[in-house]
Amino acid sequence: MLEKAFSGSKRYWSWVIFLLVLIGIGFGSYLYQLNKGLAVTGMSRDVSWGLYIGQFTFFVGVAASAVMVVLPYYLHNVKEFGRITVFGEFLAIAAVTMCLLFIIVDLGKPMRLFNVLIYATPHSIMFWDMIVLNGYLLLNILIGWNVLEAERNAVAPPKWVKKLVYVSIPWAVSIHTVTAFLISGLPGRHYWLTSIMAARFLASAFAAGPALLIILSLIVKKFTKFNPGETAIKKLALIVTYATIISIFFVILEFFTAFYSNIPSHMHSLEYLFAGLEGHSNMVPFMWMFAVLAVIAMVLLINPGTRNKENTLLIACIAVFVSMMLEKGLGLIIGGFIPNAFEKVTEYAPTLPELLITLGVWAIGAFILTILYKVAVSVKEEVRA
Amino acid sequence: MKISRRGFIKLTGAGALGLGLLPVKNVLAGDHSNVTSDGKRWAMVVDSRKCGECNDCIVACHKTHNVPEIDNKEEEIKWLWKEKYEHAFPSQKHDFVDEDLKKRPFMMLCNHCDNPACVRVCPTQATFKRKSDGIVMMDYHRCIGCRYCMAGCPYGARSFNFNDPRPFIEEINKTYPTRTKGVVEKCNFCAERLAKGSLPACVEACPNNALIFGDLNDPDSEVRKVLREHYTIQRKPDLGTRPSVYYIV
Amino acid sequence: MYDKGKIITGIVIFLGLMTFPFWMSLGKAVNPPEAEIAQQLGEECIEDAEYMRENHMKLLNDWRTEVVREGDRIYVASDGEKYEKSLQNTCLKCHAKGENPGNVKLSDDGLESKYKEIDLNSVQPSAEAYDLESSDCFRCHEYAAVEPDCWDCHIVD
Repeated sequence: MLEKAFSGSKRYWSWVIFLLVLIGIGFGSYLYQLNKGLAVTGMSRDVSWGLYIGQFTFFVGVAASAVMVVLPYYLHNVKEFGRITVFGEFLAIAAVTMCLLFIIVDLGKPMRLFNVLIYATPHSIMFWDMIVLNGYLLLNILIGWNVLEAERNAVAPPKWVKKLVYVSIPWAVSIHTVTAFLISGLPGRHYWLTSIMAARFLASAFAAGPALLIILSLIVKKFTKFNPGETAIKKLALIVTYATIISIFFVILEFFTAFYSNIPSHMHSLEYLFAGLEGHSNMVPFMWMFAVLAVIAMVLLINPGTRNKENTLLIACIAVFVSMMLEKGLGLIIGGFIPNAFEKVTEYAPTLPELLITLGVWAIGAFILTILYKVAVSVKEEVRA
Repeated sequence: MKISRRGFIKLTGAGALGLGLLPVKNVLAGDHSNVTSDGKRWAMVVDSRKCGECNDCIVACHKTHNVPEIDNKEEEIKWLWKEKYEHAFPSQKHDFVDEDLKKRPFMMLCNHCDNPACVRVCPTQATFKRKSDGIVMMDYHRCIGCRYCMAGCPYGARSFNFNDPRPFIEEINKTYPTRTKGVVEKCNFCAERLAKGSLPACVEACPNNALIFGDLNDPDSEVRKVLREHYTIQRKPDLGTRPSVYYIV
Repeated sequence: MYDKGKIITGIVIFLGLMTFPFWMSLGKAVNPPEAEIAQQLGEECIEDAEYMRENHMKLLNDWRTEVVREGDRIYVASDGEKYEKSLQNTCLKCHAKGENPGNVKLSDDGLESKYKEIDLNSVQPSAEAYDLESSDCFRCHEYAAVEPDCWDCHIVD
């Protein structure tokens, strides 16, 4: 089926080449970073994780969102999702690959990557993160590919695929639970030390992921002959709505505990992020953008009129995606390190090489997504022809 | 032997899976370091009352261990440094701390905790707690530079080599290695000096004997004596890390 | 065969590229370097040459695990002699070009120890300048095309 990715319109090829150029630039920046060390990034002794890990935590959520189509279809027979489970699984493949790449570009000694396997350490959450991420990647490759192939050959998928699907559902929950556990068990980081971290991850994942899936479905509908289906998109929109509401609710919960208890160590990170601390306020505009976009999205989504109209739905989904990207992809990780263990503030801002490498990883994700979606769409077009 | 292509591939896959699980046996086999345990528990008491204006301990430590001197605060590497009271003990500060205490320098270093968060999170055990003497060691050969330990440490005791450190080392100590870019480093309680029966460099260098070092498991050691005779506090004791560094205030 | 011309051309180019190392160095055989390991008067390596040739990397790997992770710094050689397990402080004492251990300088840590040091046969290396590229280690390793990265950290000067 991969041969389907080698034939396409001029627009398809321009897009692919554009992505390859971005990947090249990102790769070049990465070589520069390998050469000089992570000094070329904006990370510091105090803020030792930055954009890379932030993006990793965000895209883990996006990857898990495949389950939001798979679960209703396979467990509750919501037939409308049948057309798009493959799109969810292929999105998961692209997203998990981005996660793994973000971790690799963040490492100080990437050539020693396999030490995590050779010296397996079950008491380290990072070890489990590696296992669940790679496992999820493998699951989605096997499931997505085989389901698509079966559809192409007009047969039911082999029985073992269904068993893997059932495994992938709790596994999807595990990838962001484990990623949340990565940060929610660290004694010195009060911003992260909250029991609802994994729940927050789930909520924002199920908002941002399906939102992206809707955006991609609308793109597929516009530029190809395949229609994911009105009902499928409407149902997804409903899921995004509830997930967005819950996400916002969870953020409010955090604010309450911090500010009603008035305990400095609980408040400081939120203060820094949303108001600035000791004159430092780098992150404030981004966090308010997150808040404003999230509320706009919620309003557009709750109102059935705007939710069911494609153009307003598109705006709402973009708003959801961007706001969650800001909150998880930037605010969460940076906020954990500020103020530092000595209650001092060292600010963080990504540098140009860091941004170019991030762009390169996004481009790789988009490239994988493009190729896989091209294959899926071509197969579905062929079947329906 | 009659085997279908499918069967052959299944067999190969199972074999590969088995090989891939080999590291698990190391995990299940448990820890097999054959060190005869002297059962030491190295600890340090910092008598902040005796701390003067000098930096002798810091200079001694950083020179002995080839710690680079990087001007940039964001990329600096420090194994031992000074903080003011309000930053060293943020949960103990209040509005009416006496002037002397406000100005006094407090030496900060890795606490070599008994229950270290950094060791708990390290995915390769590149940082680990030595059973024989309780030192939280760094294995620079194994560190992948993921900086999870830096996120885990509640005391900000660890530094990352954002740069290649060598250009920043003025006077290299040729009996001790340097590190490379990409690994995390920190105070090691001078394990290499302890092995030869010396005291840590900082302890020796202090002109006022403000740093007292010894074995907590030896009731007659100097640290135990000092701990019996003085009121001491620790950094962030409520976090349960059980540091091995105590402060006389 | 479809596209016969393109395929055969492709195969020829591929084979040419893959066998490049072999035909490039035809007739230019290089002799293995003589291991002129500096032998010091009265000093011997911890083990004999045969053993070291075969096992020095494994030995170094074992040492680094034992010293760093287990705190076990004393190596008992097959002849019963005790040495400090240290690449920098034991091996490079001899295996460094231009070395003259007769005039050994004390280490540069600039401290006077108040406490007696246990004598573990560990003599500090001389501070004399030292040419990495013509060192014993480098010559053989370059020929064998096996690059150890020990020197990133362990000081060779």
